[in-house]
Amino acid sequence: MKDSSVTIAETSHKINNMNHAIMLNAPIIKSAWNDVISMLKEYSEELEDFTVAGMSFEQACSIIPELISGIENCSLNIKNAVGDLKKSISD
Amino acid sequence: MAENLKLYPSKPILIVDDDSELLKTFNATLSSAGFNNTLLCNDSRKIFKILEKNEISLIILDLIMPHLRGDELLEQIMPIYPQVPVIIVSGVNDVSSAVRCLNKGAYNYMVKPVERGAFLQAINNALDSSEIRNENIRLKKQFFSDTSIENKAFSPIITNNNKMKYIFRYCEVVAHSSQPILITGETGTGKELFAQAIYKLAECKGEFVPVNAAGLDDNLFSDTLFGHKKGAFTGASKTRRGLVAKAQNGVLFLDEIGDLSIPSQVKLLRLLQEREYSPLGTDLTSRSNAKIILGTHRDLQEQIKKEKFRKDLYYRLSMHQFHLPPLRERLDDMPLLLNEFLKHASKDLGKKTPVYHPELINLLSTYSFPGNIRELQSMVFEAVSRHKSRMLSSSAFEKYIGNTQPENKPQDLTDHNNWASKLQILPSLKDVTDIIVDEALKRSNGNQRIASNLLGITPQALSKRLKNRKT
Repeated sequence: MKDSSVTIAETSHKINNMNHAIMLNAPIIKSAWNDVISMLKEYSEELEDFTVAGMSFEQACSIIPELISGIENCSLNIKNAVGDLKKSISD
Repeated sequence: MAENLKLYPSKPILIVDDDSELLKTFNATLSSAGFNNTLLCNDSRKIFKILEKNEISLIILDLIMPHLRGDELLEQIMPIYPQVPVIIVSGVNDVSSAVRCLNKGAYNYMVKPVERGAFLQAINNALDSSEIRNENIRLKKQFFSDTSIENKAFSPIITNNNKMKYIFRYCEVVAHSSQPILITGETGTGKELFAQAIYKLAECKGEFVPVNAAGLDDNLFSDTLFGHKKGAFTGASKTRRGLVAKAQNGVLFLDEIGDLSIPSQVKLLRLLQEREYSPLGTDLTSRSNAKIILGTHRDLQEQIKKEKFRKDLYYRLSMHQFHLPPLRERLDDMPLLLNEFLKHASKDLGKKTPVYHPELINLLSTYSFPGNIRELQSMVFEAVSRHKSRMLSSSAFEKYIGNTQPENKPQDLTDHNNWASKLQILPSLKDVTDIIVDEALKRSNGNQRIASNLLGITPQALSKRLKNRKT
């Protein structure tokens, strides 16, 4: 059976890899949303019942940036949590 | 359109990671920041084949990979490709691992998860330092080479002057750089000619777009450079592409940047740093890959002291810069320039190219030429248009110089910080007269008529002074 510290180190490494993708991808999605929003604004003026992910365009404009910021914050929290976990086994 | 886009960096960035999802992530991050030249590799055993076939600008390397680990690869890469910077991006958060990799020659060691800003900063730093290193090598080669410069790009620049030849060599080295190039020099020294030469040397696919920034207020600057969307302001009846878009894949030459307003300098800095801009009336960000060359006749360091020029912008521009000497500092070029301008003016005016007395060169050498080559050119044109006999009369030149010189003198002499105020003990009037007479003779190559003109006395009066001095 593997030593628990080795298992924690391996799992942390995997989480870091996955979190790396989240941390780098979230700002791209944020920037993409900022770029398309002005085009969507024009589109929504012509098409009143236009929805984004089932939400009205106005709702989407306020909710989606919050969701993306949420992903970024969660990614930072995961990074800190993994750091704390690693620190606890090395102490 | 996309296939015509200029690749940046010119040599690809190689990304090595066994996780294909992470490769996509790296690639998307780099693409979104304007790095559109990448090679992806998810099998560390294939890296040497890729390095053999391609000239690589930077390697981003994972550490823990099956078959060949990143640190083993690093050990093999560095002796063969020491010029290629390697950034390790690893999930191993361990100081000893980082120290080991840096000792083996890695440029940087980053721990996953890496934040976008820090990652892009590391990429930019690595590319910048590698570019400086490669340029230093090329500069050394160029400066110590005996080969003459026969590049056609410089053919419109008439010179035999050594200082100018060094600048040619420097241009050849920096022409392919991705960094902006700053050309300083007095008005009429040929800044735009040099910008065009660099454009030819860089072999750009796009256009050469010159813009004079003097007199542009911030709105006009933004509209001229970045364009506007239809309806952006009253009178904007249709969308207009700016000159930055026109210079895509080419060169934007922005002259007189020392006269830019502070808000325009902020926009210029964003364009230089992020390669991004927004046309008026839109929040959309456009990306530029134009090579940017900037010119100014002002002393930017002085402008910084007066808080008229941003320090951060200056430092962004200071990587590649050269100063063009004024005509009075390259007098050895005077005969060459005079002959060339006489030929051109005669052709334009439908006259036979006149001959001139050798004393004309001496006369012209005494003048300070505040308008430099451009001033000489118009002076020659004026003289040729007035000339009627076979021999070009120097009277038109004498008259011009005589009319222009005195303007400079009172300015210098009425200045409270003039040379005399700095002397602890004043020399006698006779000593000062002797010094000035000697200087005038030196400047006129011993020609007493020209020297007397410089001194504002008649040739007879000068001759008398010289005789008195001998006795």
